[in-house]
Amino acid sequence: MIKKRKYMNPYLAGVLLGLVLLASFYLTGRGLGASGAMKSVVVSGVEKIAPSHVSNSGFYSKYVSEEASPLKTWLVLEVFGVLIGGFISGAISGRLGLKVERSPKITNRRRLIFAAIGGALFGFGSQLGRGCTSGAALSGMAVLSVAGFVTMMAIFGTAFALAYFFRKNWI
Amino acid sequence: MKSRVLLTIVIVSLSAIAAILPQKKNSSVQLSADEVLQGINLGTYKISSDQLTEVIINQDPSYMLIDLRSASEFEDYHFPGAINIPFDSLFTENWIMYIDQDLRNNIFYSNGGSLAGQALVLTRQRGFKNNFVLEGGLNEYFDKVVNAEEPPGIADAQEHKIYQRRKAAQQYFKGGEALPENDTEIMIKPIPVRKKKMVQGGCS
Amino acid sequence: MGPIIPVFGISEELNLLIAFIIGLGFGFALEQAGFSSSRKLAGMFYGYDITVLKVFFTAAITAMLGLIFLNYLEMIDMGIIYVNQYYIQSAIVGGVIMGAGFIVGGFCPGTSVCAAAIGKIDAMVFIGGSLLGIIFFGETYSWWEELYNKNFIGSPKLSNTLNLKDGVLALLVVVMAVIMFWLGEKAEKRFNRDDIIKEI
Repeated sequence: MIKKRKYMNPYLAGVLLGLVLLASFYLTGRGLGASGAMKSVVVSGVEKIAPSHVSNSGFYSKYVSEEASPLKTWLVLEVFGVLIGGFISGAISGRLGLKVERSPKITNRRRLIFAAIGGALFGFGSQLGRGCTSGAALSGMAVLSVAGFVTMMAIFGTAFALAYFFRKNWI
Repeated sequence: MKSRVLLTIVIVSLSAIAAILPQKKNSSVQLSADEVLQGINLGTYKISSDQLTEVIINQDPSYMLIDLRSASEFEDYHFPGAINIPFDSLFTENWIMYIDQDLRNNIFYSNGGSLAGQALVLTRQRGFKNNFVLEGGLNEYFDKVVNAEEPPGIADAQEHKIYQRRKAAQQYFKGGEALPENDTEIMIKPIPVRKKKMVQGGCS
Repeated sequence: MGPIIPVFGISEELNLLIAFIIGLGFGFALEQAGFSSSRKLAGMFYGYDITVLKVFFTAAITAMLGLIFLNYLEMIDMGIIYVNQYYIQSAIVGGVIMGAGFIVGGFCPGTSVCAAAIGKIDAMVFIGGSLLGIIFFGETYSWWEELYNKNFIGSPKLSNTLNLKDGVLALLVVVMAVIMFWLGEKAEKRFNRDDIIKEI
Protein backbone atom coordinates (compact mmCIF):
# COMPACT_ATOMS: atom_id res chain seq x y z
CA MET A 1 0.00 0.00 0.00
CA ILE A 2 1.13 3.49 -0.80
CA LYS A 3 2.00 5.60 2.17
CA LYS A 4 -1.08 7.41 3.48
CA ARG A 5 -1.05 10.97 2.29
CA LYS A 6 -2.43 13.90 4.23
CA TYR A 7 -5.77 15.42 3.37
CA MET A 8 -5.87 18.58 1.35
CA ASN A 9 -5.91 21.87 3.22
CA PRO A 10 -9.60 22.29 4.08
CA TYR A 11 -9.85 25.84 2.80
CA LEU A 12 -8.27 24.86 -0.48
CA ALA A 13 -10.59 21.85 -0.72
CA GLY A 14 -13.49 24.23 0.00
CA VAL A 15 -12.49 26.52 -2.85
CA LEU A 16 -12.18 23.49 -5.14
CA LEU A 17 -15.62 22.24 -4.11
CA GLY A 18 -17.02 25.75 -4.56
CA LEU A 19 -15.62 25.91 -8.09
CA VAL A 20 -17.20 22.55 -8.92
CA LEU A 21 -20.51 23.86 -7.59
CA LEU A 22 -20.13 27.08 -9.57
CA ALA A 23 -19.34 25.10 -12.73
CA SER A 24 -22.48 23.10 -12.14
CA PHE A 25 -24.57 26.26 -11.92
CA TYR A 26 -22.87 27.84 -14.92
CA LEU A 27 -23.18 24.79 -17.13
CA THR A 28 -26.51 23.30 -16.12
CA GLY A 29 -28.29 25.90 -13.99
CA ARG A 30 -28.56 23.60 -11.00
CA GLY A 31 -26.45 22.81 -7.99
CA LEU A 32 -25.13 19.55 -6.60
CA GLY A 33 -27.15 16.84 -4.95
CA ALA A 34 -27.00 13.37 -3.54
CA SER A 35 -30.18 12.26 -1.82
CA GLY A 36 -32.18 12.80 -5.01
CA ALA A 37 -30.16 10.07 -6.68
CA MET A 38 -30.86 7.69 -3.81
CA LYS A 39 -34.54 8.41 -4.25
CA SER A 40 -34.26 7.59 -7.96
CA VAL A 41 -32.70 4.26 -7.03
CA VAL A 42 -35.56 3.56 -4.63
CA VAL A 43 -38.21 4.60 -7.14
CA SER A 44 -36.79 2.45 -9.91
CA GLY A 45 -36.41 -0.47 -7.53
CA VAL A 46 -39.99 -0.22 -6.35
CA GLU A 47 -41.12 0.18 -9.94
CA LYS A 48 -39.42 -3.08 -10.92
CA ILE A 49 -40.99 -5.02 -8.07
CA ALA A 50 -44.47 -3.50 -8.01
CA PRO A 51 -45.27 -1.19 -10.94
CA SER A 52 -48.90 -0.68 -9.93
CA HIS A 53 -47.81 0.35 -6.44
CA VAL A 54 -45.73 3.14 -7.96
CA SER A 55 -48.54 4.62 -10.01
CA ASN A 56 -50.90 4.47 -7.03
CA SER A 57 -48.54 6.18 -4.63
CA GLY A 58 -48.69 9.95 -4.33
CA PHE A 59 -44.95 10.00 -3.74
CA TYR A 60 -43.40 7.54 -6.21
CA SER A 61 -45.66 8.49 -9.09
CA LYS A 62 -44.17 11.99 -9.13
CA TYR A 63 -40.80 10.64 -10.19
CA VAL A 64 -41.59 8.18 -12.96
CA SER A 65 -42.24 9.08 -16.55
CA GLU A 66 -43.14 7.11 -19.64
CA GLU A 67 -40.01 7.93 -21.62
CA ALA A 68 -37.06 7.54 -19.33
CA SER A 69 -36.04 5.32 -16.48
CA PRO A 70 -35.72 7.17 -13.17
CA LEU A 71 -32.11 6.01 -13.18
CA LYS A 72 -31.28 7.99 -16.29
CA THR A 73 -31.43 11.33 -14.55
CA TRP A 74 -28.98 14.10 -13.90
CA LEU A 75 -28.50 13.39 -10.20
CA VAL A 76 -27.95 9.66 -10.64
CA LEU A 77 -25.22 10.29 -13.18
CA GLU A 78 -23.72 12.95 -10.93
CA VAL A 79 -23.64 10.63 -7.92
CA PHE A 80 -22.10 7.93 -10.09
CA GLY A 81 -19.41 10.52 -10.80
CA VAL A 82 -19.01 11.11 -7.05
CA LEU A 83 -18.38 7.40 -6.59
CA ILE A 84 -15.69 7.33 -9.27
CA GLY A 85 -14.22 10.70 -8.26
CA GLY A 86 -13.98 9.60 -4.64
CA PHE A 87 -12.34 6.36 -5.69
CA ILE A 88 -9.75 8.17 -7.85
CA SER A 89 -8.94 10.55 -5.02
CA GLY A 90 -8.67 7.70 -2.54
CA ALA A 91 -6.37 5.79 -4.90
CA ILE A 92 -4.11 8.79 -5.44
CA SER A 93 -3.81 9.42 -1.73
CA GLY A 94 -3.54 5.76 -0.78
CA ARG A 95 -6.66 5.61 1.29
CA LEU A 96 -8.34 2.63 -0.36
CA GLY A 97 -9.22 -0.39 1.75
CA LEU A 98 -12.20 -2.07 3.35
CA LYS A 99 -12.67 -0.94 6.90
CA VAL A 100 -15.22 0.00 9.51
CA GLU A 101 -14.29 3.32 10.98
CA ARG A 102 -15.25 3.64 14.62
CA SER A 103 -14.18 4.85 18.01
CA PRO A 104 -12.09 2.25 19.83
CA LYS A 105 -14.68 2.36 22.61
CA ILE A 106 -17.39 0.69 20.55
CA THR A 107 -17.70 -2.51 18.58
CA ASN A 108 -18.01 -2.80 14.81
CA ARG A 109 -21.49 -4.12 15.28
CA ARG A 110 -22.60 -1.08 17.25
CA ARG A 111 -21.02 1.27 14.71
CA LEU A 112 -22.83 -0.44 11.83
CA ILE A 113 -26.20 -0.44 13.62
CA PHE A 114 -25.83 3.25 14.32
CA ALA A 115 -24.75 3.90 10.71
CA ALA A 116 -27.91 2.18 9.48
CA ILE A 117 -30.15 4.13 11.87
CA GLY A 118 -28.42 7.38 10.96
CA GLY A 119 -28.77 6.59 7.28
CA ALA A 120 -32.46 5.86 7.68
CA LEU A 121 -32.99 9.16 9.52
CA PHE A 122 -31.03 11.05 6.91
CA GLY A 123 -32.87 9.36 4.06
CA PHE A 124 -36.22 10.13 5.60
CA GLY A 125 -35.30 13.71 6.51
CA SER A 126 -33.88 14.46 3.09
CA GLN A 127 -37.19 13.53 1.48
CA LEU A 128 -39.22 15.62 3.91
CA GLY A 129 -36.79 18.53 3.67
CA ARG A 130 -36.49 18.33 -0.13
CA GLY A 131 -32.77 17.78 -0.23
CA CYS A 132 -29.75 16.94 1.85
CA THR A 133 -26.61 18.75 2.93
CA SER A 134 -25.44 19.11 -0.68
CA GLY A 135 -28.71 19.71 -2.52
CA ALA A 136 -30.54 21.86 -0.01
CA ALA A 137 -27.96 23.35 2.33
CA LEU A 138 -24.83 23.84 0.18
CA SER A 139 -26.38 24.56 -3.21
CA GLY A 140 -29.22 26.45 -1.55
CA MET A 141 -26.83 28.72 0.31
CA ALA A 142 -24.83 29.42 -2.82
CA VAL A 143 -27.92 30.88 -4.51
CA LEU A 144 -28.81 32.68 -1.25
CA SER A 145 -32.11 30.84 -0.95
CA VAL A 146 -33.95 31.08 2.35
CA ALA A 147 -34.60 27.33 2.24
CA GLY A 148 -30.85 26.69 2.02
CA PHE A 149 -30.00 28.75 5.09
CA VAL A 150 -32.89 27.31 7.09
CA THR A 151 -32.02 23.70 6.23
CA MET A 152 -28.34 24.29 6.95
CA MET A 153 -29.08 25.73 10.39
CA ALA A 154 -31.57 22.95 11.18
CA ILE A 155 -29.08 20.19 10.25
CA PHE A 156 -26.03 21.58 12.03
CA GLY A 157 -28.01 22.96 14.97
CA THR A 158 -29.61 19.59 15.67
CA ALA A 159 -26.36 17.70 15.25
CA PHE A 160 -24.66 20.04 17.74
CA ALA A 161 -27.56 19.78 20.17
CA LEU A 162 -27.51 15.98 20.11
CA ALA A 163 -23.71 15.59 20.00
CA TYR A 164 -23.41 15.14 23.75
CA PHE A 165 -25.70 12.09 23.79
CA PHE A 166 -23.75 10.22 21.14
CA ARG A 167 -20.24 11.19 22.25
CA LYS A 168 -19.30 7.61 23.07
CA ASN A 169 -19.66 6.67 19.41
CA TRP A 170 -17.10 9.17 18.31
CA ILE A 171 -14.66 10.28 21.03
CA MET B 1 -0.19 30.43 8.18
CA LYS B 2 0.50 32.98 5.48
CA SER B 3 -1.62 31.40 2.77
CA ARG B 4 -4.60 31.45 5.11
CA VAL B 5 -4.28 35.15 5.73
CA LEU B 6 -3.95 35.65 1.99
CA LEU B 7 -7.07 33.60 1.25
CA THR B 8 -9.01 35.53 3.89
CA ILE B 9 -7.94 38.84 2.41
CA VAL B 10 -8.82 37.75 -1.13
CA ILE B 11 -12.28 36.46 -0.20
CA VAL B 12 -13.15 39.37 2.06
CA SER B 13 -12.10 41.94 -0.52
CA LEU B 14 -13.93 40.08 -3.31
CA SER B 15 -17.09 40.08 -1.24
CA ALA B 16 -16.59 43.74 -0.41
CA ILE B 17 -16.44 44.44 -4.15
CA ALA B 18 -19.56 42.31 -4.63
CA ALA B 19 -21.29 44.36 -1.95
CA ILE B 20 -20.37 47.63 -3.61
CA LEU B 21 -21.27 46.65 -7.17
CA PRO B 22 -24.77 47.61 -8.20
CA GLN B 23 -27.08 44.66 -8.48
CA LYS B 24 -28.20 43.66 -11.92
CA LYS B 25 -31.16 41.54 -12.78
CA ASN B 26 -30.49 39.06 -15.53
CA SER B 27 -33.65 37.10 -15.75
CA SER B 28 -35.69 35.98 -18.70
CA VAL B 29 -37.92 33.42 -17.16
CA GLN B 30 -41.57 32.71 -17.55
CA LEU B 31 -43.17 32.33 -14.17
CA SER B 32 -45.63 29.55 -13.52
CA ALA B 33 -49.18 30.46 -12.58
CA ASP B 34 -48.48 29.21 -9.05
CA GLU B 35 -45.55 31.53 -8.65
CA VAL B 36 -47.58 34.51 -9.83
CA LEU B 37 -50.43 33.60 -7.50
CA GLN B 38 -47.97 33.44 -4.65
CA GLY B 39 -46.71 36.86 -5.60
CA ILE B 40 -50.27 38.15 -5.45
CA ASN B 41 -50.87 36.47 -2.11
CA LEU B 42 -47.72 38.00 -0.72
CA GLY B 43 -48.85 41.41 -2.00
CA THR B 44 -45.79 41.81 -4.22
CA TYR B 45 -47.84 42.89 -7.23
CA LYS B 46 -50.57 44.76 -5.41
CA ILE B 47 -51.12 48.50 -5.26
CA SER B 48 -53.29 49.60 -2.35
CA SER B 49 -55.99 52.23 -2.59
CA ASP B 50 -53.85 54.74 -0.75
CA GLN B 51 -50.83 54.09 -2.95
CA LEU B 52 -53.05 54.76 -5.95
CA THR B 53 -54.26 57.96 -4.31
CA GLU B 54 -50.67 59.19 -4.20
CA VAL B 55 -50.23 58.33 -7.87
CA ILE B 56 -53.36 60.26 -8.79
CA ILE B 57 -52.61 63.31 -6.65
CA ASN B 58 -49.04 63.55 -7.88
CA GLN B 59 -50.08 62.70 -11.43
CA ASP B 60 -47.08 60.41 -11.32
CA PRO B 61 -45.97 59.89 -14.93
CA SER B 62 -44.26 56.61 -14.15
CA TYR B 63 -47.63 54.93 -13.69
CA MET B 64 -50.25 54.07 -16.24
CA LEU B 65 -53.75 53.15 -15.14
CA ILE B 66 -55.39 50.48 -17.28
CA ASP B 67 -59.15 50.00 -17.05
CA LEU B 68 -60.03 46.45 -18.00
CA ARG B 69 -63.81 46.86 -18.03
CA SER B 70 -65.97 47.22 -21.10
CA ALA B 71 -65.94 50.41 -23.15
CA SER B 72 -69.39 51.44 -21.91
CA GLU B 73 -68.44 51.06 -18.28
CA PHE B 74 -65.30 53.05 -19.02
CA GLU B 75 -67.41 55.81 -20.58
CA ASP B 76 -69.57 55.89 -17.48
CA TYR B 77 -66.72 56.37 -15.12
CA HIS B 78 -62.95 55.84 -14.99
CA PHE B 79 -59.96 57.00 -13.02
CA PRO B 80 -58.38 60.22 -14.22
CA GLY B 81 -55.73 59.48 -16.79
CA ALA B 82 -56.71 55.85 -17.22
CA ILE B 83 -56.82 54.17 -20.60
CA ASN B 84 -59.35 51.52 -21.52
CA ILE B 85 -58.15 48.10 -22.62
CA PRO B 86 -61.10 45.71 -22.32
CA PHE B 87 -59.93 42.44 -20.79
CA ASP B 88 -60.56 40.35 -23.90
CA SER B 89 -58.40 42.57 -26.08
CA LEU B 90 -55.49 42.73 -23.65
CA PHE B 91 -53.24 40.46 -25.66
CA THR B 92 -54.20 41.73 -29.11
CA GLU B 93 -51.68 43.41 -31.33
CA ASN B 94 -53.02 46.87 -30.61
CA TRP B 95 -52.44 46.72 -26.92
CA ILE B 96 -49.64 44.26 -26.23
CA MET B 97 -47.06 47.01 -26.46
CA TYR B 98 -48.69 48.66 -23.47
CA ILE B 99 -48.41 45.65 -21.22
CA ASP B 100 -45.04 44.29 -22.36
CA GLN B 101 -42.72 47.23 -21.86
CA ASP B 102 -39.96 48.52 -19.63
CA LEU B 103 -40.91 52.18 -19.35
CA ARG B 104 -43.75 52.50 -16.90
CA ASN B 105 -45.64 50.63 -14.24
CA ASN B 106 -49.13 49.59 -15.23
CA ILE B 107 -51.89 49.36 -12.67
CA PHE B 108 -54.74 47.11 -13.78
CA TYR B 109 -58.16 47.65 -12.30
CA SER B 110 -61.68 46.39 -12.71
CA ASN B 111 -64.81 46.67 -10.58
CA GLY B 112 -63.82 44.00 -8.09
CA GLY B 113 -60.42 42.41 -7.87
CA SER B 114 -60.79 39.24 -9.89
CA LEU B 115 -60.69 40.40 -13.51
CA ALA B 116 -57.62 42.53 -12.90
CA GLY B 117 -56.09 39.67 -10.91
CA GLN B 118 -56.49 37.34 -13.88
CA ALA B 119 -54.91 39.88 -16.19
CA LEU B 120 -52.00 40.16 -13.80
CA VAL B 121 -51.46 36.39 -13.67
CA LEU B 122 -51.58 36.17 -17.46
CA THR B 123 -49.12 38.99 -18.02
CA ARG B 124 -46.69 38.03 -15.27
CA GLN B 125 -46.74 34.45 -16.45
CA ARG B 126 -45.59 35.57 -19.86
CA GLY B 127 -42.69 37.36 -18.22
CA PHE B 128 -44.08 40.86 -18.78
CA LYS B 129 -42.73 43.00 -16.01
CA ASN B 130 -44.03 46.24 -14.54
CA ASN B 131 -47.66 45.19 -14.25
CA PHE B 132 -49.52 45.58 -10.98
CA VAL B 133 -53.07 45.31 -9.78
CA LEU B 134 -55.26 47.64 -7.74
CA GLU B 135 -56.17 45.78 -4.59
CA GLY B 136 -59.95 45.40 -4.29
CA GLY B 137 -60.60 47.26 -7.53
CA LEU B 138 -62.83 50.28 -8.04
CA ASN B 139 -65.33 49.11 -5.44
CA GLU B 140 -62.85 49.09 -2.61
CA TYR B 141 -61.33 52.34 -3.81
CA PHE B 142 -64.67 54.11 -3.56
CA ASP B 143 -65.41 52.64 -0.16
CA LYS B 144 -62.05 53.55 1.23
CA VAL B 145 -61.05 56.78 -0.45
CA VAL B 146 -63.85 58.55 -2.26
CA ASN B 147 -66.34 57.96 0.53
CA ALA B 148 -63.74 58.15 3.24
CA GLU B 149 -65.02 59.10 6.66
CA GLU B 150 -63.12 61.35 8.97
CA PRO B 151 -61.40 59.33 11.66
CA PRO B 152 -62.43 60.10 15.27
CA GLY B 153 -60.42 62.72 17.11
CA ILE B 154 -58.68 60.14 19.23
CA ALA B 155 -57.20 58.36 16.19
CA ASP B 156 -53.46 58.77 15.78
CA ALA B 157 -51.80 61.30 13.55
CA GLN B 158 -51.04 58.73 10.88
CA GLU B 159 -54.71 58.01 10.32
CA HIS B 160 -55.50 61.67 10.05
CA LYS B 161 -52.74 62.10 7.55
CA ILE B 162 -54.12 59.26 5.41
CA TYR B 163 -57.54 60.86 5.64
CA GLN B 164 -56.11 64.18 4.45
CA ARG B 165 -54.59 62.51 1.42
CA ARG B 166 -57.85 60.75 0.67
CA LYS B 167 -59.69 64.04 0.99
CA ALA B 168 -57.23 65.61 -1.42
CA ALA B 169 -57.87 62.85 -3.92
CA GLN B 170 -61.60 63.34 -3.75
CA GLN B 171 -61.40 66.51 -5.79
CA TYR B 172 -60.72 64.27 -8.74
CA PHE B 173 -63.91 62.34 -8.17
CA LYS B 174 -66.39 64.80 -6.71
CA GLY B 175 -67.51 68.24 -7.80
CA GLY B 176 -67.53 68.40 -11.54
CA GLU B 177 -65.10 67.59 -14.25
CA ALA B 178 -61.78 67.77 -12.54
CA LEU B 179 -60.50 64.90 -14.62
CA PRO B 180 -57.31 65.86 -16.40
CA GLU B 181 -57.24 63.85 -19.59
CA ASN B 182 -54.19 61.91 -20.54
CA ASP B 183 -53.00 63.79 -23.58
CA THR B 184 -49.37 62.85 -23.61
CA GLU B 185 -49.39 59.26 -24.67
CA ILE B 186 -46.00 57.77 -25.13
CA MET B 187 -45.55 55.35 -27.99
CA ILE B 188 -44.07 52.19 -26.66
CA LYS B 189 -42.22 49.65 -28.70
CA PRO B 190 -43.06 46.01 -28.10
CA ILE B 191 -40.43 43.76 -26.60
CA PRO B 192 -40.05 40.22 -27.91
CA VAL B 193 -41.90 37.63 -25.88
CA ARG B 194 -39.65 35.45 -23.76
CA LYS B 195 -40.01 31.74 -23.62
CA LYS B 196 -37.49 30.29 -21.24
CA LYS B 197 -38.09 27.96 -18.38
CA MET B 198 -36.42 27.50 -15.08
CA VAL B 199 -34.40 24.30 -14.72
CA GLN B 200 -35.27 21.50 -12.37
CA GLY B 201 -32.97 21.20 -9.45
CA GLY B 202 -32.36 20.37 -5.86
CA CYS B 203 -32.86 16.90 -4.60
CA SER B 204 -36.62 16.87 -4.92
CA MET C 1 -24.70 33.70 -21.53
CA GLY C 2 -25.00 30.87 -19.06
CA PRO C 3 -26.26 28.53 -17.83
CA ILE C 4 -24.99 26.95 -21.01
CA ILE C 5 -27.12 23.85 -21.33
CA PRO C 6 -30.65 25.24 -20.80
CA VAL C 7 -29.90 28.47 -22.66
CA PHE C 8 -28.50 26.83 -25.76
CA GLY C 9 -30.80 23.83 -25.56
CA ILE C 10 -27.98 21.30 -25.59
CA SER C 11 -28.94 17.65 -25.82
CA GLU C 12 -29.94 15.61 -22.80
CA GLU C 13 -27.15 13.08 -23.41
CA LEU C 14 -24.46 15.75 -23.14
CA ASN C 15 -26.16 17.09 -20.03
CA LEU C 16 -25.87 13.66 -18.44
CA LEU C 17 -22.22 13.44 -19.42
CA ILE C 18 -21.61 16.80 -17.80
CA ALA C 19 -23.46 15.56 -14.71
CA PHE C 20 -20.99 12.70 -14.53
CA ILE C 21 -17.98 14.98 -14.94
CA ILE C 22 -19.27 17.41 -12.30
CA GLY C 23 -19.84 14.40 -10.04
CA LEU C 24 -16.22 13.36 -10.57
CA GLY C 25 -15.09 16.78 -9.37
CA PHE C 26 -17.54 16.72 -6.48
CA GLY C 27 -16.40 13.29 -5.31
CA PHE C 28 -12.74 14.16 -5.74
CA ALA C 29 -13.08 17.38 -3.74
CA LEU C 30 -15.04 15.66 -0.96
CA GLU C 31 -12.55 12.84 -0.64
CA GLN C 32 -9.51 15.13 -0.72
CA ALA C 33 -11.11 17.24 2.01
CA GLY C 34 -11.40 14.16 4.17
CA PHE C 35 -15.16 13.83 4.03
CA SER C 36 -14.73 10.11 3.46
CA SER C 37 -14.03 9.69 7.15
CA SER C 38 -16.96 9.68 9.55
CA ARG C 39 -14.80 10.49 12.54
CA LYS C 40 -13.40 13.51 10.75
CA LEU C 41 -16.95 14.64 9.91
CA ALA C 42 -18.13 14.06 13.46
CA GLY C 43 -15.14 16.01 14.78
CA MET C 44 -17.07 19.12 13.83
CA PHE C 45 -19.58 18.50 16.62
CA TYR C 46 -16.97 17.80 19.32
CA GLY C 47 -14.58 20.54 18.26
CA TYR C 48 -11.50 18.40 17.59
CA ASP C 49 -11.69 18.77 13.81
CA ILE C 50 -13.75 21.47 12.15
CA THR C 51 -12.95 20.53 8.56
CA VAL C 52 -16.68 20.32 7.80
CA LEU C 53 -17.23 23.95 8.76
CA LYS C 54 -14.19 25.12 6.81
CA VAL C 55 -14.94 23.20 3.63
CA PHE C 56 -18.68 23.74 3.68
CA PHE C 57 -18.56 27.49 4.16
CA THR C 58 -15.57 28.10 1.89
CA ALA C 59 -17.35 26.19 -0.87
CA ALA C 60 -20.65 28.00 -0.37
CA ILE C 61 -18.90 31.38 -0.34
CA THR C 62 -16.85 30.60 -3.44
CA ALA C 63 -19.91 29.60 -5.43
CA MET C 64 -21.97 32.47 -4.00
CA LEU C 65 -19.40 35.11 -5.00
CA GLY C 66 -18.85 33.40 -8.35
CA LEU C 67 -22.55 33.61 -9.15
CA ILE C 68 -22.72 37.26 -8.10
CA PHE C 69 -19.82 38.19 -10.36
CA LEU C 70 -21.11 36.09 -13.28
CA ASN C 71 -24.43 37.85 -12.88
CA TYR C 72 -22.74 41.25 -12.80
CA LEU C 73 -20.81 40.46 -15.97
CA GLU C 74 -24.08 39.32 -17.58
CA MET C 75 -22.64 35.89 -18.14
CA ILE C 76 -25.44 34.00 -16.42
CA ASP C 77 -29.22 34.24 -16.45
CA MET C 78 -30.13 34.15 -12.78
CA GLY C 79 -33.79 33.62 -13.64
CA ILE C 80 -33.00 30.14 -14.93
CA ILE C 81 -30.82 29.10 -11.99
CA TYR C 82 -32.64 26.78 -9.64
CA VAL C 83 -33.48 28.38 -6.30
CA ASN C 84 -34.69 25.95 -3.68
CA GLN C 85 -38.36 26.02 -2.88
CA TYR C 86 -39.21 26.89 0.67
CA TYR C 87 -41.90 25.03 2.55
CA ILE C 88 -41.49 26.37 6.06
CA GLN C 89 -42.36 23.35 8.21
CA SER C 90 -40.95 20.60 6.05
CA ALA C 91 -37.60 22.39 5.65
CA ILE C 92 -37.22 22.76 9.41
CA VAL C 93 -38.53 19.33 10.46
CA GLY C 94 -36.62 17.64 7.62
CA GLY C 95 -33.46 19.49 8.64
CA VAL C 96 -33.83 18.47 12.28
CA ILE C 97 -34.25 14.81 11.33
CA MET C 98 -31.24 15.04 9.02
CA GLY C 99 -29.20 16.61 11.82
CA ALA C 100 -30.06 13.66 14.06
CA GLY C 101 -29.10 11.30 11.25
CA PHE C 102 -25.79 13.11 10.87
CA ILE C 103 -24.69 12.71 14.48
CA VAL C 104 -25.99 9.13 14.75
CA GLY C 105 -24.71 7.87 11.41
CA GLY C 106 -21.71 10.10 10.90
CA PHE C 107 -22.32 10.84 7.24
CA CYS C 108 -24.62 12.73 4.95
CA PRO C 109 -25.72 11.20 1.63
CA GLY C 110 -23.00 12.83 -0.50
CA THR C 111 -20.15 11.99 1.85
CA SER C 112 -21.41 8.44 2.39
CA VAL C 113 -21.16 7.72 -1.35
CA CYS C 114 -17.68 9.17 -1.37
CA ALA C 115 -16.63 7.12 1.67
CA ALA C 116 -18.17 3.96 0.29
CA ALA C 117 -16.06 4.51 -2.84
CA ILE C 118 -12.85 4.06 -0.87
CA GLY C 119 -14.13 1.02 0.97
CA LYS C 120 -15.66 2.28 4.21
CA ILE C 121 -18.11 -0.41 5.25
CA ASP C 122 -19.93 1.88 7.68
CA ALA C 123 -20.65 4.22 4.76
CA MET C 124 -22.10 1.36 2.71
CA VAL C 125 -24.38 0.47 5.60
CA PHE C 126 -25.32 4.14 5.91
CA ILE C 127 -26.36 4.17 2.23
CA GLY C 128 -28.44 1.04 2.80
CA GLY C 129 -30.11 2.76 5.74
CA SER C 130 -30.80 5.83 3.63
CA LEU C 131 -32.53 3.76 0.98
CA LEU C 132 -34.69 2.19 3.69
CA GLY C 133 -35.45 5.62 5.09
CA ILE C 134 -36.56 6.82 1.67
CA ILE C 135 -38.72 3.71 1.18
CA PHE C 136 -40.27 4.34 4.58
CA PHE C 137 -41.05 7.92 3.57
CA GLY C 138 -42.49 6.73 0.26
CA GLU C 139 -44.67 4.06 1.87
CA THR C 140 -46.02 6.38 4.54
CA TYR C 141 -46.19 9.44 2.32
CA SER C 142 -49.87 10.02 3.07
CA TRP C 143 -49.03 10.53 6.75
CA TRP C 144 -46.62 13.35 5.98
CA GLU C 145 -48.27 14.79 2.91
CA GLU C 146 -49.87 17.65 4.80
CA LEU C 147 -46.66 18.60 6.59
CA TYR C 148 -44.70 18.12 3.35
CA ASN C 149 -46.82 20.62 1.44
CA LYS C 150 -47.66 23.07 4.20
CA ASN C 151 -46.85 26.78 3.93
CA PHE C 152 -45.22 26.89 0.52
CA ILE C 153 -43.87 30.37 0.01
CA GLY C 154 -42.19 29.99 -3.36
CA SER C 155 -38.45 30.24 -3.89
CA PRO C 156 -37.49 33.24 -1.81
CA LYS C 157 -33.93 34.52 -1.68
CA LEU C 158 -32.65 35.60 1.71
CA SER C 159 -31.33 38.81 0.18
CA ASN C 160 -34.84 39.76 -0.94
CA THR C 161 -36.38 38.76 2.39
CA LEU C 162 -33.90 40.93 4.29
CA ASN C 163 -34.11 43.62 1.62
CA LEU C 164 -30.38 43.57 0.99
CA LYS C 165 -28.36 43.47 -2.19
CA ASP C 166 -27.01 39.99 -2.96
CA GLY C 167 -23.48 41.30 -2.58
CA VAL C 168 -24.12 42.82 0.84
CA LEU C 169 -25.58 39.55 2.10
CA ALA C 170 -22.57 37.69 0.69
CA LEU C 171 -20.27 40.06 2.56
CA LEU C 172 -22.18 39.40 5.78
CA VAL C 173 -21.90 35.64 5.23
CA VAL C 174 -18.17 35.99 4.59
CA VAL C 175 -17.60 38.04 7.73
CA MET C 176 -19.62 35.51 9.72
CA ALA C 177 -17.65 32.64 8.22
CA VAL C 178 -14.29 34.26 9.02
CA ILE C 179 -15.39 34.71 12.63
CA MET C 180 -16.56 31.09 12.77
CA PHE C 181 -13.27 29.85 11.27
CA TRP C 182 -11.35 31.79 13.87
CA LEU C 183 -13.47 30.46 16.75
CA GLY C 184 -13.37 26.97 15.24
CA GLU C 185 -9.60 26.91 15.08
CA LYS C 186 -9.47 27.96 18.71
CA ALA C 187 -11.82 25.08 19.46
CA GLU C 188 -9.57 22.68 17.54
CA LYS C 189 -6.72 23.61 19.88
CA ARG C 190 -8.87 23.46 23.00
CA PHE C 191 -10.58 20.13 22.23
CA ASN C 192 -7.51 18.71 20.56
CA ARG C 193 -7.59 14.91 20.21
CA ASP C 194 -4.33 13.81 18.69
CA ASP C 195 -5.24 10.17 19.16
CA ILE C 196 -8.22 10.54 16.83
CA ILE C 197 -6.53 12.86 14.34
CA LYS C 198 -3.74 10.30 13.92
CA GLU C 199 -6.18 7.53 13.08
CA ILE C 200 -8.34 9.32 10.52
